[in-house]
Amino acid sequence: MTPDPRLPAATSLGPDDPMDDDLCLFVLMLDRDGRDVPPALLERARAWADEHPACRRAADDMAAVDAVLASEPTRTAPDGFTDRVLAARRRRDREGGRVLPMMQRLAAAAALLLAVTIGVDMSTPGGAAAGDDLERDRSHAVDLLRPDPFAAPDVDAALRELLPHHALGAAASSDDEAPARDAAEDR
Amino acid sequence: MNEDERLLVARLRAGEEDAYRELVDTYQDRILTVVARVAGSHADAEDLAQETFLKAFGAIDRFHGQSALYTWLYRIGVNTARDWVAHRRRRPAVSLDAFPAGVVDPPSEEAGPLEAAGVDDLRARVRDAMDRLPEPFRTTLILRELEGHAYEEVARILDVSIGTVESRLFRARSKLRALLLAELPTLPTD
Repeated sequence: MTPDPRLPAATSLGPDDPMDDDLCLFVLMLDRDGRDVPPALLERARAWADEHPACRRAADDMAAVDAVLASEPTRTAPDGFTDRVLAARRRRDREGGRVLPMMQRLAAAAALLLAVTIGVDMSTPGGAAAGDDLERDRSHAVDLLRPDPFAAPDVDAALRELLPHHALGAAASSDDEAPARDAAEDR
Repeated sequence: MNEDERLLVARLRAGEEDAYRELVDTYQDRILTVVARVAGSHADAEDLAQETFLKAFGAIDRFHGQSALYTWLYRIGVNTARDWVAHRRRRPAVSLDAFPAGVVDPPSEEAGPLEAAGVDDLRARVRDAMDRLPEPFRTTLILRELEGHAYEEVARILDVSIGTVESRLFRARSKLRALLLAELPTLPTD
């Protein structure tokens, strides 16, 4: 007899529900537990148990086990249990008081670190250098300013070579005298 | 919730040390008993009872008085013990379907094995078999048979319907009997 998990609720039991071992034991259990069971149904369950010894034995076994369970002794708290609980409460409060500020400090430190990192990254332009092989093979405007391919670019020299002297402010130290000299020569 | 309980709750919320002491003094035995029974461990019962009270202290602001203070505290204890069992169960619970059909013995006029077993032997076997009942049937049976709660109170503590309590109790008792019969010696036949 495998208990049927779909047993009807006690409130829905009717006097004419078909009786079997499961229902018999269920009804007897409810009656033993002081639940409201329709009297006619209870009578039928008792009659069924009387006519089916195995069912009666099962009902008696369940009652015997219930009696054993109900007679289990209760526990008594040992002396000092209350003091132990209150000490644990104070300890937990102290630990909670330490943990929360520490977590707040950690959170603030993490936020500050994140802000500094973002600020540094945004203020520092990222290098846009190409790979070495691209740098080596690609021509660059700055190459025009190198006296030779392997020398560093000389901006001043290159610009003087490319542009008229009088257009360059860099040649002003000699150019300052030149107009007077030229002017003198023109005269 | 009566006036005394209301006052105690107010004092607990205010953090009065005497209120904490009063709560523990009043309910320590009952909480210790229920957590020991649900956990199936007397050795760990004091720790579990302590944890129950600490949880209650921390959650008192969330107690709204819809049940008695003891019912609320009791529910914390049951859940604390059930959580402990779930994490530390040493022996596997037996599935309710792990037994062959035919729990009812063949018809016989002789005394069955449970009747033939001595009281002390039966008590020890019942305790062992209880430990092997799966949840939530085990806790439901403990609340009804060991703790003596009415069906309505069991339903409130476990937050289930009364129909569920009825069904669980029947299945728990049936399987407890099956566990006991599976372990008791077979009666000699002539």
